[in-house]
Amino acid sequence: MIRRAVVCALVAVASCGTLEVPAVGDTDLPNNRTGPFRVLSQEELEGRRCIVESLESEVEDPDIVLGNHGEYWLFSTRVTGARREITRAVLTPALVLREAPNPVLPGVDDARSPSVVRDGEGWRMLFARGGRVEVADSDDGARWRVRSAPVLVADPSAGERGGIGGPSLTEDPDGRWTLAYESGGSVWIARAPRPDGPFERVDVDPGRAGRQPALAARAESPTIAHAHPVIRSERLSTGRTIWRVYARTTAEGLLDGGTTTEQTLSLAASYDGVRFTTAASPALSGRGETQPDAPGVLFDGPTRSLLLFSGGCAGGRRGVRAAIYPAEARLPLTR
Amino acid sequence: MRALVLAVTLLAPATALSNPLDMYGFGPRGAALGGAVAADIADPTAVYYNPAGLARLRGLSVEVGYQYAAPTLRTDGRDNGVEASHGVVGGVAAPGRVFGVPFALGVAFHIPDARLSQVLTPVQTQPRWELYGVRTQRLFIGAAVAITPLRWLHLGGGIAFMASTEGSIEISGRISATNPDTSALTHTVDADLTAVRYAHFGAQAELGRGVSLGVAYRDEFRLSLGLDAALQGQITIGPASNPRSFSIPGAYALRSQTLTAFQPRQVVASAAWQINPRWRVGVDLTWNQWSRYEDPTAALEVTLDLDIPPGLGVATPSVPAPTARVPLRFHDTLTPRIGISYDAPLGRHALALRAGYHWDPSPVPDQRGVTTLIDADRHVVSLGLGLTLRRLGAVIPGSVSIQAYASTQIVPARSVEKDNPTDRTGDFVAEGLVLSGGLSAGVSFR
Repeated sequence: MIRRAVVCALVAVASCGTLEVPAVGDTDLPNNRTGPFRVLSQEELEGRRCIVESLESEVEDPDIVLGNHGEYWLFSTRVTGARREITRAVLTPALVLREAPNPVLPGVDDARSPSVVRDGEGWRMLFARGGRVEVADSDDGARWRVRSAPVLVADPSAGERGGIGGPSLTEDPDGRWTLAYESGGSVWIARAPRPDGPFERVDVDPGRAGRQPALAARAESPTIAHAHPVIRSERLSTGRTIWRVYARTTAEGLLDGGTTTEQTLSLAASYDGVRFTTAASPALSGRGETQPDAPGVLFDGPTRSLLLFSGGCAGGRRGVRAAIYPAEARLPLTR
Repeated sequence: MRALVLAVTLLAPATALSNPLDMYGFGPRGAALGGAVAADIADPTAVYYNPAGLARLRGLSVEVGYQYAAPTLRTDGRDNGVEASHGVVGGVAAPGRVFGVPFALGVAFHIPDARLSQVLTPVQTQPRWELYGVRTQRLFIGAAVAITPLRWLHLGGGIAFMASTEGSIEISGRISATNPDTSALTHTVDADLTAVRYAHFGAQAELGRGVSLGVAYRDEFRLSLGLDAALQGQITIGPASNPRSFSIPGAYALRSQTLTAFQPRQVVASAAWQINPRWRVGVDLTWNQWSRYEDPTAALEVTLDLDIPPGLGVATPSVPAPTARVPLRFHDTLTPRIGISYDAPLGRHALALRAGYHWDPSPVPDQRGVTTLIDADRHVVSLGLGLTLRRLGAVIPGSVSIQAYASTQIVPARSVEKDNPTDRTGDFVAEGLVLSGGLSAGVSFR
């Protein structure tokens, strides 16, 4: 009797259970901003393929910062024929254009690759011109004054050949400033007490002869070249600091008697800002976007990251596109 | 492919898995006392804690209740949404005599009320709270017998029942690459549920002056989910009726093997002292053989055999390499437990106040490499009470008891630092809290 009752009770209780489809698992788990980034679709960008584009010009070298009033400032290089000028656009957290790109360095030609940082109450911009890195100052992010002296010029004895460019500046948690820049297909590191210098060049491997870059070019097939770095330092919850460098990496080699070229946005990272490790897989592959170039990055909170890059817009012209990580993240940005 | 996904979806939840009892306790009395009860447990939950305790029952005992555990587990301050564990618990124990020897039989169960079981098989590098979530949503059914060969000695043993799943799906037919509507495929799904059992047994000794000693053993068990998928047929390029169309015979085979549950072998040493009719204290020490833990990541083997005619200009697609897994290297742990209770008489009835604590060190080593199995030590503080109503009348000649408990499982912060700065998960700090509680009602006829 009791056994029957027990069996009946067990069956009744068991029948309350359901064969439910498993949940997807834990959410909001940590990530190291490595990618792979997901290129935002036109639907997510209100029908636009590019965040910023122009019918008359190419737009490249994006750098995005949080502005004074919660809006986002997008600095980039506008290329019209042989002329290159730095512009600033204002974006909403949904990456909708609130102010069209306007030149911010009037009268300055051949300026490119802006890197903008907040410095106390003001702003500093490092940019490339004539194979050197120069600096401009601003109080409001819209009007800038270019200083007469460059902050960094190429030094062939330090491995820099053919000029330097693509500067990217970040403030370290200890208050110092780290600069990443390109020269001769490699990405180099320098450090300074202030955003406008003086910069001291970093040798990532003092044990080897000659100064070594953070991301080294490779001359043998497949040849590898790095350019347009963007560097960000971040204090981790464990107390360590991490430096991440995203850069355009071009690999060229021979395959089946022809030449093949692959262009990706790669990542290298370091716990000391000196010795960098290159990630095994790209942050954005050529499959995500044809010929992605010149990344700019914004860390949106502790787990979301926005990657801007030069890519193809409607009509084949190049403009600024956006990708996000992790892949399931959606706009708007959270700040 | 759709059929394959469907098959996985159907097969996965059908697996009956291990028990959440190691994590949150079993029944309000044992949970309130921090699990330090193996020396003198004497109710249906003895099926889990120490089967020998069944022999101490003096009458038929039935107990049914409900337990709920709500984890708030965080990494870097953010809630990871680890699912709650909840379900119906209970058991029946019936004592008697066989050839003059006191004898008892017991059955106990924990049945999750959201789903009977759940299986997730993430890739090895996917960060996850390894010992929570899925692991605590398992079906447990145990049965045990106990005898009292000597007046002071009780022996018990039994079996816990689980199920393992093996399945296969076969697809055969013809795929038309140029006109998919004319494809003809036949699907066959075959699934087997196989019972898995593990042994558990124990002993209790009453040494006099209120002192009891106990030892319990729970064997290791592991549950695997196997899935075979086979696709065999022809890919036709061009109308099937056209003799000039290309036909490519091919075969695709997928073999997936997943460990969906693991319980470490456990040995419990326990002592309890009934200091006086009101005060009782118990201590347990549990050895958990976590070092034999296996990676639950699905091991995949894929083969693709396409007989492509020469000159077609089509290359055989590459298939994923067999899954390579990094050894996890869990280590064995020792879990100390203590429980104290105070019985206050309320006329012919009684009220028991209980408190317990146990420390459960994490078996998961530092996660400096590619795996990110999140876990940390656990400090569990619990409180409970039990109301026993006696001599309620002729219908229930014994007693009715109502038991309740609440516990807080504190998961202190644990920093994880990765050797590789480009590791996909990176550094983080894990911590958390699990609040749990339960209520049960029981009847004892004696």
